[in-house]
Amino acid sequence: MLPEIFYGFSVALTFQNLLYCFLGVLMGTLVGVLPGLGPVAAMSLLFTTTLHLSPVSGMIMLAGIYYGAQYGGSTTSILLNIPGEASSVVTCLDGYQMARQGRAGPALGISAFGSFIGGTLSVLGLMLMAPPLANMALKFGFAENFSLMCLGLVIVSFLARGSMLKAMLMAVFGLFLGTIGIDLIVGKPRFTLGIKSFMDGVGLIPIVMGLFGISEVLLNIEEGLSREVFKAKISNLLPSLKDFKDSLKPILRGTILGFFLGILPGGGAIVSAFTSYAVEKKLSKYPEKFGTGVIEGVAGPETANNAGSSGAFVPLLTLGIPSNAVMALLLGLLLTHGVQVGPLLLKQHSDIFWGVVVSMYIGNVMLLVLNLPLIGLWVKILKVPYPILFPLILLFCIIGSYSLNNNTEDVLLMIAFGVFGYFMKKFDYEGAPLVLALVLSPMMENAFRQTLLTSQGSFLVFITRPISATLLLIAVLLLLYPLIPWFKFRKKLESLEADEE
Amino acid sequence: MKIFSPGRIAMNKREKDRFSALFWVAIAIGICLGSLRLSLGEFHKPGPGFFPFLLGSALGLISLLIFWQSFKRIPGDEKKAFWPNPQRSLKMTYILIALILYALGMNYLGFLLSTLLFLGFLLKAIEPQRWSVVLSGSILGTFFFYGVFQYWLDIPFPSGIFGF
Repeated sequence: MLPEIFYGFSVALTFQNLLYCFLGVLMGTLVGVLPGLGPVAAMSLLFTTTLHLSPVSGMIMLAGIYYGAQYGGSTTSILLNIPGEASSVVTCLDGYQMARQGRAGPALGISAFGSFIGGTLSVLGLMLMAPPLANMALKFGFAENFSLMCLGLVIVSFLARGSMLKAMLMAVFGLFLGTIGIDLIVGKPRFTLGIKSFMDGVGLIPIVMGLFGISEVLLNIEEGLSREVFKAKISNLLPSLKDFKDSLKPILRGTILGFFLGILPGGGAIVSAFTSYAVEKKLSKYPEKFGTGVIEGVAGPETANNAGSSGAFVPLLTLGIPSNAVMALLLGLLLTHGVQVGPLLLKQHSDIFWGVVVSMYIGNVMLLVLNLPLIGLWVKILKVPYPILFPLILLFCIIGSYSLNNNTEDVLLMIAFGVFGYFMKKFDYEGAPLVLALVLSPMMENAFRQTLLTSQGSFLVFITRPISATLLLIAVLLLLYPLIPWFKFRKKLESLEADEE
Repeated sequence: MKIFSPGRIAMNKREKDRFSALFWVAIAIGICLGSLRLSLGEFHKPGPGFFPFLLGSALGLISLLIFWQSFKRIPGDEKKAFWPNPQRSLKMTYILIALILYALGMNYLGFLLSTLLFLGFLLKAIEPQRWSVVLSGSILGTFFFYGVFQYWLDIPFPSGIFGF
């Protein structure tokens, strides 16, 4: 593996790739710090720009935004009690309390160190796991691929924060949106409603920007986002020796947990951070102190969310299956460049794989350098009032959508999805499963139709092939899992009725 | 007499689920009908409408499940105003109108003029800022974006009827 790593360094250390890596992590930290503009919206915005670059540089830059945002998100959680990113929600619990006790510096410091260690070690895990997994995936045919994508979408729905049914509904709707446009097998336009730009399918970027950018601004304006930056002077960013000692085990546990949870579809940074917090509280000698400013409550989740964001690259770079909306955008980028994503990526485009992986090491070092000395700058940026910030966010979104094809139809589509996203949030539906399914849809339909063509119309092929059957079985079990409490409830009710009689 | 007052609309979680489920049922029916018009083909040779038809059916089924679930009692499920602060919701509507007008007007007025007006409006009308902030914010914002995207990233913007 050593020659591949050296090759990766030779790709990542070119001036151009270093520059894009730096720009990516800088942008990532910025959007992580600024509430109301997440990594998905920021990546969508720069998506068009990256199309002018080589696929490696584009991937390096967009990946930098993703893991950079995890770093930046912790700053707002600690200083404002407002998570810059969903994955930093749990950091608020103890981080903000630490800041109130005059320990904002150590909280920010340990989150930067934890993020660095988690990010770096999980990249190592990615390097070790990806090649054998890609080799295994080479055995997959159309049926296995279809079943794997089904399982992926079921896991995303299963791990959704709200109702599983609603997440599934969004995933199915996303799959439908992905069918809009000319059918590639018979060349017939489908559901285009006479709109010319729909012939090539609905654009991923306008939908993502609408769902994650515009709708967020609309909700923030409606709710009246008010922020008060923590006034105390931040000094002594280096945590004490005791802080390091207390944080060492949570950091190591957070790395392992984060990495493996990040691999799961729908997992990624958010689930990793929440699970790490729960584990640390469970293992702690003083669980009752969690939430009052305990450094383990910052170190664990902050490490886990960064490890999780690296883990999420495993299914994308080995199977060609994105595990969250961010990975879906990265997949979109590779597909736009005509790169065949899947198990062969490692062999056919080793520059992309090793270049991106090694750039993540370099990016993590850059983030450590950026985050600690520049804390003062980030705090200043935090003070930009939202009424001045939101017009710029909207303008960013409009220009991002317009620049895709230089037409206003994409902008109108984005606005429509902004309104759709606003109502979906009001009615408690999540946008991430939709985006994931939208990207997977063409691949899934192709795998489905090709399977039926080769099996001469027999659906049995999905359950007679062992790998496909196993994947579908897991999906079915996950779908049935929510029924368990219902059965238990029925049983309890019956026994109560029997007792009464 | 006020016939419709958005501020008065209040729903609990169950009503929200029921309402949204019905919306999705309608969408599902539309997808299925559209798929039938595209032709489903045969199992051994699926047509262009086959996969969307399956998706439409799945969407309908899930919507009906959500609808059915919405009749289950939820403890403490109280009605909440859908638009709790109508004044702020109105601001949101202004933003939407501004977005649509900006998107439609960009080709006629050109990027520079339409962006100046768009930023100026948002800075003054939504959360009113001082004129100095409005003017400097909209001028700086417009030229910053114009410079970055037009000259650095080579993305051509429409010049409109005034030629700029």
